[in-house]
Amino acid sequence: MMRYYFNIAKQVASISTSSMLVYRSNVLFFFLFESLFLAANMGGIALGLNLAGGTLSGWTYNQVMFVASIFGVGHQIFTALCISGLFHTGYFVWSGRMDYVLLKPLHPLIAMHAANEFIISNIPNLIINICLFAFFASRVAAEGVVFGVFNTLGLFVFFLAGLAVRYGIALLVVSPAFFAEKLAEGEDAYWSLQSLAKYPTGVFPRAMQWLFSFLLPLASVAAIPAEIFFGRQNLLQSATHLFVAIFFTWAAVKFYESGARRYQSVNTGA
Amino acid sequence: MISKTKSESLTHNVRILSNSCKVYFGQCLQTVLIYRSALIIFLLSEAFAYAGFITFWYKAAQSNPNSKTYTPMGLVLYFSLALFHHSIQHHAASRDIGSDIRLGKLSYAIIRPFPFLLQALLRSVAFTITYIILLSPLLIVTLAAIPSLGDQLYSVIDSTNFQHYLAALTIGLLCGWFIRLVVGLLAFDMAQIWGPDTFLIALYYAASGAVYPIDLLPGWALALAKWTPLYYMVGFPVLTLMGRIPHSEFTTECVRGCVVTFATFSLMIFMWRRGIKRFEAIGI
Repeated sequence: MMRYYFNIAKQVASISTSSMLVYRSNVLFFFLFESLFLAANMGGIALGLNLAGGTLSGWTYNQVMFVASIFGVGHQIFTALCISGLFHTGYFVWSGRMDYVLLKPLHPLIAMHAANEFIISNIPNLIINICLFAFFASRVAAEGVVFGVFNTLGLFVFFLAGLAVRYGIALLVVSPAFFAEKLAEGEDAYWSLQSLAKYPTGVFPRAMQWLFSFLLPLASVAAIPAEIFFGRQNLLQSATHLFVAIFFTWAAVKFYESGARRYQSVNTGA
Repeated sequence: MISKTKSESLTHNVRILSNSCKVYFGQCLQTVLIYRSALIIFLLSEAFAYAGFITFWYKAAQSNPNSKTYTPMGLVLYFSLALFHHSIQHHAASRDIGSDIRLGKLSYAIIRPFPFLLQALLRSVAFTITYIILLSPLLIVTLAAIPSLGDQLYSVIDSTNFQHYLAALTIGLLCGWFIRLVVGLLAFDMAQIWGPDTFLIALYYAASGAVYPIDLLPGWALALAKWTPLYYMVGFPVLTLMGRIPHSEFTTECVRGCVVTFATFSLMIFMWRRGIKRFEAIGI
């Protein structure tokens, strides 16, 4: 079974590579886009922090940028591996192409990823983001944060949980396409919502903090992994956040599955 | 007799132009109304994102009361106005034009009695008018509901400032429409324009003032941004309306804006003339 899934991933990677090579000028533009977008995002946060006088809600400049860099790494991994399969859902439902996706002997989500591409053009940006993460990690280390086994492991585990939450949010915004054709364009809503995840939780009012921690766990994407790393969360809080992240993602997958069950192969798309 | 014919022809053309405007506006409004549930979800998520985004900036300004650049409410006003000016730009125009060229639909558009570029521009004008109608009430309600926000704006508005704002808005809209068409016209040379289009989005975010107050940029970066059409799309009208561009400097900025707009327009015409010679109406 593992070999079967490995072969699927290999095939998708191979198709993605050839597609990217055909549209190589676009790959270059996309690389420039992601780089400049990253610069605009980081630059915006830096301008805000300068305006704040260097610290914000008890977070130092380097700590806030550390959160932003965790967000950036997650963004690149999610973009490279997931967006094509997820954000084509609306089009596949609308055009009836979902028929053959659902006929495959795979879970509908895996079948969607297998039927689409990996955005391998984001890999250079992923490397840039990892370098930025390493840079700000060294800066926070210089401020006295110790790289212990448990906090580093905690960062890694919660980073994965954050990726799962991203995936869950994307599922929540694309799944309505199964229920109403006019709700096929969920992608923009995803980008709007996830953009909130790059800030430390402390900058938001209490009600929003609660909302982002327990209902729409955007805090789990970057802020909570950083807080775990800085030792700002105790064991109970950490376990709660992990549970919420897993439950949220599970519920989003169930929502997608319930949508896929409603699909009737009737469409108005060309 | 000849002059009368010319006059009739002019009247006829104006009528067609006016009807085209009406049709494009009707189509745009109809699309928005048909997809109203999608629009509501989109607006809600945008509003949600903006609330969080503004909170970050508000907190930043609040943390440093000695800052002479922006007060917390000043930042809220900046982003409220920036969101409005961002939303009335027809960002999909480049993709629409690119698709018209790539799919060969341009072939039937060019036999219409008006230049294709004018039709494309009218679609963008219709989009802008539709969104001004839809979003103005929201902006007015926001300003009325938060008195300190409204007061902040009313304290700087006078007739000169408002005239300056109208000039800045016109330059900004023209720049936005032209630069989008420039990117769309790249489809004469490329099978897909999503690369340049997304690159333009990134440039737009970096240099327009949509995601941070543009006048907080370092001097050299701001000076550079002012020589691009992007600065005029959001930053210029917003800063003008907020009175952050002194009256004495406005004329210089306005002239530079006109130069940039004309340069963008010339580039658009150049690309159209060059591209239409290569167009074979096949489509892919």
